[in-house]
Order: sequence, then structure tokens, then C-alpha cells
Amino acid sequence: MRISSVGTAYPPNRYPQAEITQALAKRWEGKLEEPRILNRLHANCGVDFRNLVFPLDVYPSLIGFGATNTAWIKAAVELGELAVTRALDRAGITAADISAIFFASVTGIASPTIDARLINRLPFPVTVKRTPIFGLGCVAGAAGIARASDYVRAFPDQNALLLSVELCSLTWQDDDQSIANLISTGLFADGAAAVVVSGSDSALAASTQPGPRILATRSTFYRDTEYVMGWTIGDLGFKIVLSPDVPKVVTDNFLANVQGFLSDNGLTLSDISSYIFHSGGPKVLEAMETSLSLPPNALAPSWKSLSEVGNLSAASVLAVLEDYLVNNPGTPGTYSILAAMGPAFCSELVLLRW
Amino acid sequence: MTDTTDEIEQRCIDIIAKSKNIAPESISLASSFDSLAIDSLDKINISFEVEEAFDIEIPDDALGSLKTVGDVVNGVRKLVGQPADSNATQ
Repeated sequence: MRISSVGTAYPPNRYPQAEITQALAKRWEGKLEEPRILNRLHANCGVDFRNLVFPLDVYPSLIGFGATNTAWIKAAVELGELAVTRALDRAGITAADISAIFFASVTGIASPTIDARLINRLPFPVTVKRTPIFGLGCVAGAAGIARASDYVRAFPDQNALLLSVELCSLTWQDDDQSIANLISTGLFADGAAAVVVSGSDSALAASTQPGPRILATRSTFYRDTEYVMGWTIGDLGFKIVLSPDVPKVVTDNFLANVQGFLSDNGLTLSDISSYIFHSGGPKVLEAMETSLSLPPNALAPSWKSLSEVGNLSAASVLAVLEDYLVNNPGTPGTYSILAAMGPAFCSELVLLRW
Repeated sequence: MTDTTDEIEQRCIDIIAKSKNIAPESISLASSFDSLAIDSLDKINISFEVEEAFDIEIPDDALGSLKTVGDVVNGVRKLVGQPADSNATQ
């Protein structure tokens, strides 16, 4: 089984980081005890630009969970369709060739889910199996690939599709001036990514597509770290939970986690040629670099993605993966690790061979 | 500017020590922010204190590159117009 293609889509409203900071400072005028903290936190998120689903002046009119979630559904369908179409086009197949869809998001909810709504817009078979995933957060990009690969392992002549749509700007909370929310509004952004995962006996896997083979996956739950990241869900929607302990949890767990995974697959870190890691933020990327003693620039594509589009939650690691596939595919025979972490706290690792 | 190199070091260390409620003697130029449990908010609050103490303005985006006490001291020296001490980050 292999990753046959990735397609991303971003909303059209693209802003420099400072412009978003300025808009939020204006929106929260009188609410911020020390406005300079907002400027300084946002300026150090490692983010230079972000794409948002609405122009900045529209957000103050989106009040309450109902309005924002309704906006989320409409935009998620549109952006999701774009990402799916790009991934399918790149793989040279149509929606009719997909047997299972895994849909991941943590920034809005819907029933029927977004994947169901897309089946009414694209020619997916009516027999397509759907697995909507809510709540995994940033880890869902890697976890989605892992679950899609589980599926095609069971049905090797089929193709599975992973779609992640994250519209983080629709979770901004006006009544929350906590440091966690100030960081969150500086770090997270909007985007979608779709991945085609093809079974080893599928026509697609036998084609000359350049995508890497998926050799193994590993889910690891870090016990008693529920407090580190997630949402508190209230009448106004999703309120961020983001502890300063995140980098420490990464530092405490990641190396052993990766080494154990590689060892079980007969490999060590020295066998890995590239690291396709979720662009969590400067602290998380630094913690990953330090934990694995990575050489300088090993995570350059992740830093670049963070700078150019911000943290897209589950879609981020898929955007980094797209960059590798399109601009820097591995040399045949070399290994990569794709990794993300998210609420629980937990990690998902995917071992790839080009 | 009347601050000598040693004065700058000592004042930076004092600011950090006070901010984290730890003994100045336990802080050296090589101390990393991680080892002193200085998080993003601590770093920002320390930057405000340093700005006030030295009457300087630290660029908003400069904080990400500060990893050690020595980085802060060198940054202050630069902003007050004193040459950076090559030993400050060792």
C-alpha cells in the first residue's frame, strides 16, 4: 500500500501575521490587560502568513456556536471538495475509484458529516464506507493515514481517501483572553488536505505514481496528559485548552516512542532520511528536533509550512507531506517517518519507504 | 550609557531571578530558559522588565531566538550599543 497523492486547499483570504494580530487587538480593545502580550506572542509563533475562511472584518459578526458552526459546514464542504478534487486529479483517478473515506476535523461538527455532503457533490460510489473522525485534533492527519492504511491492508485491491478540513479561525473566542487563546489565535489557521491511500493490489499502487509505501504505523497514548491540549466546549463553541507543558510532554516521550517503533521494524534513527512532522509550533518543533537530536534543517519543510500557512491542525502534516511529494520526494529505497501529536496527549507515527 | 558589561549581566540575571522567584546565584549565562522553567509568557514578562530596566525596545519577533540567559544579555548589549560578549552564550 502506498500514498498515491496529496491535495491541499486554502481559503482565499490571505493575511500577514501582523495584520491578523492588529485586527484581533482592535476586536479585543479594552479586554486585553496588556495588549503588548498579544503582539509579542503572535510575533513569536513562527507564522508569517495565514489563510482565513472569511475576511477579517466578518469575524466579529459571527457570534455564538450556531452561527460559526453553520459557517463551518458550508466552508468545510467547499474547501474539502477542492482538496479532494486536487488529490484525485493528482492520482489520476476519480471519486468513483474510492471505496472508503476517512474524514477528520476538530473545528466543527455536522451530521450528516462533511464526507457525506461531498458524496452528493462528487461521483463517489453509493457503497463507499465512511468514517468521520472528530476529536483527535492535530494528530488526526497522521492517524487518518494510519487508519486508511489499515483499511487498504484489509482490502488491498481498493483505494481509501483521507480528508481533513480545519477552519481554526472559526473557533476564536471573544470572551477568552487567556494566554492559551492568545497563542492559539496566533498559531492556528484554516486549510484542507486530502490523501489517496491505495492498496497494494490496486491498479493505482502498480502505477508509476511517486508516492511512498506505507510500511507500518504506531499509535501511542501518553497516559495522564488529558490536561495538555483539547477543547472546553461551551455555549459559545470551542475554547482552547493548551498547556505550557506540551513541549515537556514531547521531550519526555517522543524519543522512546520513535525508537521503539523503529526498533520493532528493524530500523534505527540513522536509517531515516527525512522527517515529515506536524507543524505544531516553534516549541513543539524544537522539542521534536531536540528529542531526536536531528541535524539542522531536518524539519525545514515543517517550519516552512508553519511560516507560510500556520498550524492547520490535522491538515498540517498532510501539507508537509504534499511538499515532500511534489518538491522533494525521497530517493527510492529511503525511509521517512511521518508523525503528529495531539490531544490525549498521544502520537501517531507512520513509517514510509520511497 | 553607563552600564558596564558585568552590570548588564547582573541586572538581567536579577530580573530573571525575581520573575521566577529563584536565587540569582543559581542562574548563569549558560542557563537555558527550559532549565529555568521559563515559558512563553514568562519570556514576554521578562522582556517587558528588561525593556524598562535598560530603557530599550525589544523587537516583538526577537523573543523566539532567545534560548539562554546569555542570549538575553547579548541582546541587551546590542540594543544599548555595547559589543556582544562572545563568552555570554557559552
